[in-house]
Amino acid sequence: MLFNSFAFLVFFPAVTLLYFVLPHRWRWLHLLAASCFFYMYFIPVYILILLVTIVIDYSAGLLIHQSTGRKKSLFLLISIISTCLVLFVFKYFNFFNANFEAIASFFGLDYPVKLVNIILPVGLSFHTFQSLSYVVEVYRGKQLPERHFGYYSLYVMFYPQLVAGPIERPQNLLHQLREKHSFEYARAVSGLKLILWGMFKKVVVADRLAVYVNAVYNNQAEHSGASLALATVFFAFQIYCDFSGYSDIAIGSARVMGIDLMTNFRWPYLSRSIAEFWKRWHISLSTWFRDYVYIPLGGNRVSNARLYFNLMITFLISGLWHGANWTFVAWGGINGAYLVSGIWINKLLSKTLVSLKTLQGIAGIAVCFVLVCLTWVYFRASSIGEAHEILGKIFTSHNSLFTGPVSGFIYSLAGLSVVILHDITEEYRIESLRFFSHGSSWVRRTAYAATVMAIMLFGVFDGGQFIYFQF
Amino acid sequence: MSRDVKRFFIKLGGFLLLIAVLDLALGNLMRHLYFRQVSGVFYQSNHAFNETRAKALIFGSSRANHHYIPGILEDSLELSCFNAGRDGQGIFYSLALQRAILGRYKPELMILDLNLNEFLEDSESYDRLSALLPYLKNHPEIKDIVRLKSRTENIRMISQVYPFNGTLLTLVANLPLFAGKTKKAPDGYLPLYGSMEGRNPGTGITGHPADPVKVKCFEEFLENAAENGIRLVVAVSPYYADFQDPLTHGFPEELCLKYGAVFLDYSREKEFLDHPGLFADVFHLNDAGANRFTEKLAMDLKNVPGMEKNDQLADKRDP
Repeated sequence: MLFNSFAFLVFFPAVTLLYFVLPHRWRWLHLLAASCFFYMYFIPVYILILLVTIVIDYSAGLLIHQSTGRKKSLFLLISIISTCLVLFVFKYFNFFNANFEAIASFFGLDYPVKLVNIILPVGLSFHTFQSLSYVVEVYRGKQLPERHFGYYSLYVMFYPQLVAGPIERPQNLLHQLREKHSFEYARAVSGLKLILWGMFKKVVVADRLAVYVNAVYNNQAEHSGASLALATVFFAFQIYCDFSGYSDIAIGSARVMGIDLMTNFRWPYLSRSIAEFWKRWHISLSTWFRDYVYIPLGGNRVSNARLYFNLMITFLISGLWHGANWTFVAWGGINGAYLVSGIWINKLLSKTLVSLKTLQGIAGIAVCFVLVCLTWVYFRASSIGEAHEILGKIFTSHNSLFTGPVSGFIYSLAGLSVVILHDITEEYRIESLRFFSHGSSWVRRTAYAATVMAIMLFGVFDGGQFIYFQF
Repeated sequence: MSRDVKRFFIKLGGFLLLIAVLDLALGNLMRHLYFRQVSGVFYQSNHAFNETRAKALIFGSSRANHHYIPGILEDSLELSCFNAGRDGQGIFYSLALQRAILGRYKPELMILDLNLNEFLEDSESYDRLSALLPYLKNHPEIKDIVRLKSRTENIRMISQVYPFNGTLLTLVANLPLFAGKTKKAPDGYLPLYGSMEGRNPGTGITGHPADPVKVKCFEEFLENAAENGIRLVVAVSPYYADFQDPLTHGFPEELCLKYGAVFLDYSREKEFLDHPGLFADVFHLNDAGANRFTEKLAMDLKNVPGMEKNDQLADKRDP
């Protein structure tokens, strides 16, 4: 089920209402049933895959907790391999298979393994990582195993964050699922505001920008460097609004029920460095990679060479997590390279440019945004070759700018401006412009009504899926 | 019920009431603006749906809109002519428009321009049915076509603003206040400019499975024309592209034969393919190209055998 669908408009109030009406002891079952329904709305049979990973990691949690020494490590390893195997089969098998075939062909060898016709289950990457964090935290002794199968299942399947995060940690989510939550007016309003804002970002901004981005990127050979550059900037905001919009709806939906999910985005395009960007973008994933890949590799408590290696490996894997294509690996690798370069530049700046701190801030935001946009070219392109073509044109071709239908172009710019203004007011706490939390109730209500009307007037209702569903 | 819950539902109810009132007010305002357009795509659609009484009508997508010059056809066929083609629209829109027009009067000639990917299975064609939403209120005969858009279209239509989603700027730009600044197209034809001189033709699309819903709509279009004794020409106007496959499996030609319509395929005419200067882009003729094409079509309409009233053919089929 998509958040921006009519079905969700019916599903959410019904589930939430019933949640508060039911006695506490039945709420977990109600949420679990609702989450199953939510997931099965896509392809029903794929819930069996989810069940397999749930059973594996639920059992592993109990076994790890009651074991010691090598047996404990063995159960952890089995759990990780089994869970990752499911991810590999559905997401990466064809990718690696195709590459092995290409290598075999290069050497003139026969390669017998054929590609399989398989659809990636929605949200597989997300709930796989959420399950893995559970077994690792149990192994580390930071989380007691959940003995109630229903609560554990709900931890994995909790519908607001089931298919595209935030990727939760057991320490944050499990206990909340067990606690009794009473209806609170302020929380409900806060949650609904977040849902409304998330819907605006998705339907009015992201899907509108997508029209231009798709028109240019899908016919990149026909478009000038200027158009490709603009499409890249538009894509940067498309993916931001799409994904952060989804996160807002997920967080808002949970908040109405009294459950707090982690923040996933913190105005990332106001970052002044790539390092800061990765503390603000897809926070649940970047912290996951920090805690379960980067730090176990040694983190930054190692030699410089090893530090750079750790960073590159972490980001290459992160790139691969996003998709089974070399473009995503390249995207991750470039981000890793940025971070490594940033470490060198930071050392240089701290010695020579201390007096230009303010300019660093403003210039830093601009430079960081440009650097991030360059990586988005790889993320959006269908191949490395196409990405290079696009980048080449951006820097060399200066023909006229394609705008498409003028009205759509103006809507895109207007929506973008609203998002940028919103992020600036939130980052710098410009209270008079924070309309959703303004002191005057008239301003707040006008802002809510204006947002709803903007969705109805300018929203693209045929936008379809959120981008991150493909992961 | 706790005080918090009561307070929440009261405030939510009040807010939803406010939204309903705003929706009603804004929706009606936009409806008023929509049907008061004096130029632009909405004006042309309004004229086609509600006003035109032209004896010859052209249906189809942007290719229809930019390829067929009514004035040339009027001179040749001695019939008043209006180009009702609309950008981004296909057989769904054409059928809806045909039904609406037949509810008002019976033209003598209909020309339906088909794209080479007319019957492609794609979700975009269904999304673009939103172009018909403003007409649903006054044209219930197109309800089943609009419902193809989504299962929840009935519920979405409760909103008065929804049919005009995404149109605000266009509506304002084509008000009488600004009309002088935008193109008017009283006969519906909109010329394109530009040239493909020096550029290679596009490459052909491979065969796709035909969408059965679109095929059904096409067949109904043919049937409606036949039943009403309207002469029907189904044409594929030129492309600046070298296509390897025939128009979606060849069935349109067979169906035309069945319903007594004339089928004319210009998609691979050398007269156009060898002259890139006649094209604005791969899919569209420019104004010079449209002139040449319409003249050729007009001549062919006079000379092509079987170009007779469909009711005469019906007499021949039923002894």
